Amino acid sequence: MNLFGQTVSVGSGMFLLLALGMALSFEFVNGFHDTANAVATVIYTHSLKPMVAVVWSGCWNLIGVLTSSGAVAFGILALLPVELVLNVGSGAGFAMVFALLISAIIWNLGTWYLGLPASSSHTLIGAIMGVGLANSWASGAHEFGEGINWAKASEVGMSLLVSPIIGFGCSALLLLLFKLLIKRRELYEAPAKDQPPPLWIRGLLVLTCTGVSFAHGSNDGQKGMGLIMLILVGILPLTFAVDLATSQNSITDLASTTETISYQMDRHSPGVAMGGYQIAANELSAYLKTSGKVTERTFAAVGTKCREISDILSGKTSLSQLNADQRRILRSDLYLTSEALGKLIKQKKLDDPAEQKSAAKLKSNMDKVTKFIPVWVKVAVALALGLGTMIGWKRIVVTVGEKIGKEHLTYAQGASAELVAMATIMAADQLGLPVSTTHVLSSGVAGTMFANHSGLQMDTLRNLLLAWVLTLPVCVLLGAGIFSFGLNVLLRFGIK
Amino acid sequence: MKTSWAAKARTLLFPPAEPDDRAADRCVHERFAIPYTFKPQLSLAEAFIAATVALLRIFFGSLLFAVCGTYTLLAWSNIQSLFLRVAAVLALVLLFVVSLFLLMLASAALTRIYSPRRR
Repeated sequence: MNLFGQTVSVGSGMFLLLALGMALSFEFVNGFHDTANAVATVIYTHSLKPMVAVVWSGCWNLIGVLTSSGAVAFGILALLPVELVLNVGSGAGFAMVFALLISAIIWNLGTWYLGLPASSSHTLIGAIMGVGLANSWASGAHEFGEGINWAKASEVGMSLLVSPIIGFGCSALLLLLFKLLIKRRELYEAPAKDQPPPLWIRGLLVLTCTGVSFAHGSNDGQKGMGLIMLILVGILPLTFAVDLATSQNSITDLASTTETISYQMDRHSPGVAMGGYQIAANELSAYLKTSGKVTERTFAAVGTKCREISDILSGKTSLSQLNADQRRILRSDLYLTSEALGKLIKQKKLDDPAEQKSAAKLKSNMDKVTKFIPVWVKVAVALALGLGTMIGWKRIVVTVGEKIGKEHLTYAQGASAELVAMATIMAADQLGLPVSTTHVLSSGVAGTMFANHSGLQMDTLRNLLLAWVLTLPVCVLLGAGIFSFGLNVLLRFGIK
Repeated sequence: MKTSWAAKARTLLFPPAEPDDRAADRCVHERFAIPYTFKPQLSLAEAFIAATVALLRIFFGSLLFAVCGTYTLLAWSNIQSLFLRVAAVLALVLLFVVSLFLLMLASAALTRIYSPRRR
């Protein structure tokens, strides 16, 4: 059968649609979870009718996904084991994708049914770490946890510590500030039945709801896109390995820049010769592991790969002139070289500022060829996330709105918690703070309840903290277990 | 009197609606919107069963999508006549919708059978 201009077997076609269905379901369930961050305070302060709030939030999530760049999608892929990303069309590659999707869906569904607002990002990161761990065991790694991105793990650990403190502290302080500056009793009392807040508070809450929904769509909504692209590259490499719409100028520019960089890399590795393209690829794969150290051979490998890219691209006016094998090799080379250059820049191993600049420019040009997302993928993900937002919102919203504090949320409490959540999303994007919006909002509501002397439901708080702390280890175990099971099945059936 | 098999199946698939007491003073539109149309606090066992059934729904739903989708694509590319092509695609889409609906009903019935607190 013909799919996107590539002939595949009926089995492969069915497998592709199954994987796409699972990936879109992951986004759908993701929508269940994170809506509460945007709409809980708006609903419980009667700023918007529940259905209006949820549809509004769903639409802004949709717009957020459609206008996103895809950077977050590929950022998540950078955490995956390099050898599996490069061989995603293999049985192990598909076992990885399914393990990630199934473990994230299981934890998201479980916590959602219990009404616990757990972080979807932590869930996916946990599953990725689990797959990395199982993969390093399966491939006989010498060091424990070689396949785990420990920097990301410590970031999640830091988030567990920082998010509740920011949420609880800042929201409580903001509420106290409101009380000090605005002397209007109705702001600090439970709203009368269906009575909306004063216009300015209502406007503020609707604005923050809009901002949080948009930011969620343009940020968290992208995670599924990266996985969908991996699936497409694995099954339909001819169409999706590289961006076939790359212009002739970009191709020429890439071919000449790779050649220039290869000479620069040779200067860092005098007299070091790579015994072939595959040896260079192995060298870069080893460097990209968390335990990988830079040596002269790393620079030589980057130089060799740049020359290979330049050779493949020379004389070509369009990437569609490349055959299937060349496209697959080009994608591999671009991915390895780009990630290696990124790591060299991050580790400040390129001393010369001009060299740093040209390496960064080359990385950006390479990423444009491999890190692209077709519009139909964005639309499908946006619809799945938007629909999930509109359908599964109730459970978590009830927890945030009714089960954290002992009294009904007041207008000022809703505004304080939501303002802090919105500010946190913006600060996290700008400053790279390791915080979870889900944790910040739930803690924010708790903080305002505490500052208002409304009382806290300790059972809910205990369950929340337990779920937050357990998310990472449980997802690591789920990811590792499902991936190992998948590998075992593949071995038994002799699938490569 | 012994309940018939059909009546049992009907109760299982379409249980009688029992609105929550807290929603009694609300209109139908508000009942739909406010969170009182479901049981907000599930026990661990209930949540486990619900999550398992939801996962099965996702997996089998995706499988149905894959099978129907593949045959829809095959029909689209292999049938020459436009009329027959559209008819085949519509039939496959209908088959998908009906089988998905049946899957949802069956899984809902399964949840009710195995739920620890059956009504």
